[in-house]
Amino acid sequence: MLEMLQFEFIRNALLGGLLASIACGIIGTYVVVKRIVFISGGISHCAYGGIGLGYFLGINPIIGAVLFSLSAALGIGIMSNKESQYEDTVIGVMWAIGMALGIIFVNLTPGYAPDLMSYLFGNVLTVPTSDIIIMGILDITIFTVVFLLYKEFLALCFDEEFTSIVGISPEILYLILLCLIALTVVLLIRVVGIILVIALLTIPAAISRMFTASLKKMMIMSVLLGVVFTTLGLWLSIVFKIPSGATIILTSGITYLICICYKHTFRQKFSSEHNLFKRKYRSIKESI
Amino acid sequence: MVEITQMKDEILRLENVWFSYNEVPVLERVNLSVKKNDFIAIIGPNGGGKTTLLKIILGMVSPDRGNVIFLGGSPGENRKYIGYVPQHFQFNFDFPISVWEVVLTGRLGHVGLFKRYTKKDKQIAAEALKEVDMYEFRDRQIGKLSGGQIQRVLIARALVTEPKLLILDEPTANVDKKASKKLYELFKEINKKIPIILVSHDIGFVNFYVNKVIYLNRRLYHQNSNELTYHYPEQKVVKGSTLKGLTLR
Repeated sequence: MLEMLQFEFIRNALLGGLLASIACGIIGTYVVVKRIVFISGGISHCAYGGIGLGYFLGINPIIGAVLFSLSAALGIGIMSNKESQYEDTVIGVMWAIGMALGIIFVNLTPGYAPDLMSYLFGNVLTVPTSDIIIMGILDITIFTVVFLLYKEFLALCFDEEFTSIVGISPEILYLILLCLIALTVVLLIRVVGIILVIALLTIPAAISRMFTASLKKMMIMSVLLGVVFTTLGLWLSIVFKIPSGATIILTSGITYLICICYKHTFRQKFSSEHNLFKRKYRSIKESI
Repeated sequence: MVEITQMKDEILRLENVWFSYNEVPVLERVNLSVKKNDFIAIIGPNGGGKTTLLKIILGMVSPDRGNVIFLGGSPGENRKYIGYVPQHFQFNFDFPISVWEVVLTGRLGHVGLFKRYTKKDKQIAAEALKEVDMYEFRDRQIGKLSGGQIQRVLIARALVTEPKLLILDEPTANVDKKASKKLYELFKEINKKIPIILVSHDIGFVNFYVNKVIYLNRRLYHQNSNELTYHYPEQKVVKGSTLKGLTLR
């Protein structure tokens, strides 16, 4: 493993995995606790339209992806605020429009798009240094915003209604959060690809949630898990000569399943107190 | 036309408020006046408009007709002076947040964006937790508390906003008899400082502790006649003794 570090593409791949893990640990935690996994899926698939546009205009596809995922985040956020009962429809429509635009742009581009597949399924081994720099900038942006708005986001995710009563607009906060998800999605595209983004965004956070009841600890644990999954997945993919993005996802997915089994076995011990409360609540609810 | 002015020591005033949802009338001709030391219970059947009335007072919904005046302004502008305790079973109890963090979110409106909670905020939060007798549970995850305890935490969160009016939506819905009694004792203490409006469909305790009971089923029926009912003679005045029969019907 160590001698592989002399190659620049390996170093970039590891660095890319690290940068992606920071963003997905922090933002993935919000996605999981606020239960907006489907929205994140919509935003990430919309990014494909931007990648197609990037090819078409001959600019870096990642820039196109940033533009498209940010507009998708704002679009979904604004429309679902107004017509809350149609939120999932809005997401589904945006999801499909983004993909369709991408396909048409790529088709209109003369010549063959060689690394298009790497945007769909990710290939961290082909990440150029320029993209690493973009990823770094995105990471700093995400970290700064979360650092500044930590308490507001915590309140928003726990109780949106109360946030508005204390005089802070939950709509605007929610839009900011969706934009951060959009940036995170772009960061992750290079590592695992558009189609697998959801997995890396949610699995580390879902695992840490099983073991901690603090949002901050969840974030730290998710970042660490992300680093472990990307590094381990990358190493396995080199050893077995299989696609890196899919290997990273399988590594995290299998770990998640093992954790669920573990948790299930020790469930009684973990949450007997909580279950007692749930049972009491149910009986009271029935008696009303 | 009645002149829109608040009387002295009147905190909240609703005048001829109408509201309908998808053309179904929810509230009709609602008048209410809340003064400094009031402890008002609003009772009534499900779908009688209780939650809608609270949302109008909180300024989250505007009425189709009529006026709401809270502290001399609209409830939208002065919303942060209302301490609100929602029905607690709408929360996700698995949420990774501690009692302490929940109570501190009540200070959000005072701290300002981008800033950390100050020593003063933490002191106020600690005092509120002591007042509701939950300080020793401050590091617990919110889901690992009983119904009555969660209610106390949410009350503490409302108190740290330094409210001029406390609104509670079904505070005892998920709480056993003994804990309910303790909650009402707590409300009585809080009521020495600020007026309270509480919505409930459990009338058992309500009568012992509150000083005004109002029955809401699309219209408000005041227990004791007051000057507002006089202006609107259609509004029935219900004597305390018949109140029980009304709610059960």
